[in-house]
Amino acid sequence: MAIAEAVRSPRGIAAHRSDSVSSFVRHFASDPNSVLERQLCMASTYLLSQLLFLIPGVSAIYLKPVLAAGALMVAATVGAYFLRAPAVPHRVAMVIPLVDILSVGLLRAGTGGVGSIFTFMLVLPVISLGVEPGRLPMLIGGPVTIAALLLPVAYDPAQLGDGQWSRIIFGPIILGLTCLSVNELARRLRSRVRAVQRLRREQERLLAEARDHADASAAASALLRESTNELVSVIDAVTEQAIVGTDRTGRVDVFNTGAQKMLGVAAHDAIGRSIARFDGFDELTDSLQTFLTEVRSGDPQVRDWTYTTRDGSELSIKVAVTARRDAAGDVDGFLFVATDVTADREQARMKDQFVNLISHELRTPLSSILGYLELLEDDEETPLTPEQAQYVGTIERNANRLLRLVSDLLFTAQVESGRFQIQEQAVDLQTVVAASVESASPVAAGRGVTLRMAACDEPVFVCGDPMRLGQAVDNLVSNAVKFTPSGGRVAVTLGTDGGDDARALISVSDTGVGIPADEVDRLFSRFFRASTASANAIPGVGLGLSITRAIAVAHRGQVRVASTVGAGTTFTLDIPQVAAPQAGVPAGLPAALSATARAG
Amino acid sequence: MAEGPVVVIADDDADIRHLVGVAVQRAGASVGASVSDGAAAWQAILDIGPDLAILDVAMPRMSGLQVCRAVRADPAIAGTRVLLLSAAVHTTAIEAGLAAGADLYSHKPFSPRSLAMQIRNLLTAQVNS
Repeated sequence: MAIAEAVRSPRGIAAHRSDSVSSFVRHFASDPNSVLERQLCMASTYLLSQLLFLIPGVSAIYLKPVLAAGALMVAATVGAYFLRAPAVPHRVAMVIPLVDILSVGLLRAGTGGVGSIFTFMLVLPVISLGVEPGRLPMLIGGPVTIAALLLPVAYDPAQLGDGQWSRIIFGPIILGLTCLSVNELARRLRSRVRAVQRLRREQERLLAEARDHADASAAASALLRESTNELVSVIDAVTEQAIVGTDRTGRVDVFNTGAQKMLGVAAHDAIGRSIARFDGFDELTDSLQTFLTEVRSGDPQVRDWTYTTRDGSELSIKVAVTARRDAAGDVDGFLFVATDVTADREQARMKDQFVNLISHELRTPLSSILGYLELLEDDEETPLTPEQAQYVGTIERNANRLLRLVSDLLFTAQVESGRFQIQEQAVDLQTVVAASVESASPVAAGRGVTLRMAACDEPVFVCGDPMRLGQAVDNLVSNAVKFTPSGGRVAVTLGTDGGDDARALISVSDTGVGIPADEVDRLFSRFFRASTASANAIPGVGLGLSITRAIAVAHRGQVRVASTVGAGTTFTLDIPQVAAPQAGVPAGLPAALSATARAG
Repeated sequence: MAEGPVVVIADDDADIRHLVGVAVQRAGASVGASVSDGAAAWQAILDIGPDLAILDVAMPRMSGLQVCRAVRADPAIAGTRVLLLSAAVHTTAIEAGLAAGADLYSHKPFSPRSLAMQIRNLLTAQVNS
C-alpha cells in the first residue's frame, strides 16, 4: 500500500500531467509502435491540406512535384504500416518522417515555393523526428529539412532573389529549435516514464512480496490455530485427570474436562479466577507459596490433597505441579495435574484390612493347633506312644509350614503396600548366621546334606533389623538345604569385601540342582519357581527369595546369584558394613522383644 | 480361693483362653477371670485387682491396647503387670503395644511352655519390685 501511495504522490502525478505537445509526444514517444499512428496523423493532415486547393488563388504551379509529393506520402504511409512491427529498429522507422519532410518539400515546391501555404506542414514530421530518441534523427533531419526548403529553388532559382534568404535561413533554424525542444521534452518524458515504470514494477514486486508474506502469515496462523485446537482437544480428552493451568499470579487459564468432572466446577466459572479463591482449595493454596517456590526452582512437585466436593464427599487427590515457561525460559505460570486416588486409597485400605483379618484369622487357629500339640507332647501323666509321637510331630511340622506360608504372604503384602519397615540397630551378622545354620542343621542332617559354617574370626556389624536379617539368611540356608540332594554340601561363609565403603557378604553355596540361566532374572519375582524346583518336586510357593531381596533392599543391600545347572548355586547377601558399636550398647535385640522375636 | 498370684485372661477365642490358662497354671498362678472381650477384661481387672493381665490385642468392645492404657492410667492398679498377646507381627504393632505400657509383647502362635516361663518371670519381677 505504501508503494501504491508513493506512486500516486504529487511527483508521480507530475510525470503524467503535461501540456498538449508533451501529451502528444508522450503518447508517441512511449510507444515504439507509434510510427504508423504518427504517419496516419501526418497523412490525414496531408489529405486535409489538399482542401486548401479549394481556396481561390491556391493552385499547383508545378504539377509534377505535387504528384510526387502525394506519391511519397502514400509510400511513407505504406512503409509505416510495414515498419510498425516491434522488431523493426527505431533508426529504420526514422526514415518515415524524413520521407514526409521530402514530400512536404515537393508539395511546397509545386505550390509556390518559399511563399507556399503548405510550409507549416513541415512541423509535424519535424516533431515526429524530434520524439525519436537521441540526437541522430535531428542531425540527419537538419540537412533533409534544409534540402526540402531549398527544393522550390531547384524549380525556380529566381526565388532566391526575392529576398527570401531570411526564410531559407530562419525556417530550418526555427524548425531545428522546435525539433530540439521536442527531442528534449521527449527525452525527459521518456526518463520520467521509465522512472514511473520502474516504480510500478517495484510496486508490483513489493505487492507480490506483501501478498506472499500475507499468505505465509495466514498459513502460519492456520497452523497455529490447528495445533492449538489439537492441544486443547488432547487436554480435554483427559477426562480422568484434572489439568488446571494458571498464569504467574495464579489466575486460571486452562481448565480441562477432567477438572470440571473431578472438581465439580464449570470451565466458565473457573477461567479467569484466581486459584486461591476456589472453594475447597484452601489446603492446597495455604502451602502454595512455599510449594511454588520449589516448583519455580525447576523440580515438579507432587502433593497429596483432600478436596471436599460441593456434595460434601471427600476426594483424595494427588497433585503434580510444574512450572510453565515462556520462550525466554522464565516462569510464566503453573500447571496443576490432579489425579483422583480416592479409589486406590480405598482399595489399599481394604487390602490392609484384609491382610490384618487374615493375619488374625489364620494365626489364631494355628496358635491353637501348635499350642495344643505341645500340650500333648508335654503331657507327663499319659505320654504318647512312639507312633502317636510321630503323628503329632508330622502335624506340628505341617502346621509350622502353614504358619511360615501365612507369614510370608503377610510379609509380601506389607512389602507391596510399602508398609514394610525395619527397626534399625547394630547387628552382629556372626550371631545371625550361626543361628540360621543351627536351626537348619536338623533338617540338613535328616536329608543327608552336610551343612557347615566357615569360621569368621571377627564379628561383622551391619545396621539393620536382626529379626528380618535372620529371616533372610534362614531363607537362603533352608533353600540351599532343600535344593541339595542327599550327599551334597552346603557352605555358609561370612566375610567383608575389605573396601573403603566396606560391605558385609554372606554367601550360601550348595552342590544342588542349580538354576537355568534364563530363569535367574525372574528368580526374585513373587511366586516364581525355577523349573528345577518343579521338576524335582521340591515344595514351596516361590516367596522366599522375593522376601529375601526385599529385606536386602530395605538394608540398602542386594542379593546376587551364580548358578550352574547340576553343579550348584551360590547366593550372596551384600549389605553395607558399619563399625562395631561402643561397649555397653547392646548389639542384639531389645530386651522386651528378645524373648519373643524368634518364637514360633 | 486359689493360692498364689492371680491372672486375668482376655481373648475372643475360647481355645486360646484355655491354652493361656494352662500356661498360667503351669507358671504356678491361678486364673482369676477368663473373659472374651476388652470391656469385660477391664471390669475384671477393676474387680479382682490381678497381679497380671494377659490381653489379646484385637478384641471386641475394647482393644488390648486400650485396656492396657486404662490400667496404666489408674494409680490404684498401676502395679498390675500386662502381657499383650497378638497375631500381628510388624514392628509398628509391637511399638504401639510397648508404648501403651505393656510389660511384654508376645506373638501368636506361642509355645505354652515358653509362655509359662514368661508369666513366671513377670510375676517374679513383680514380687521383687
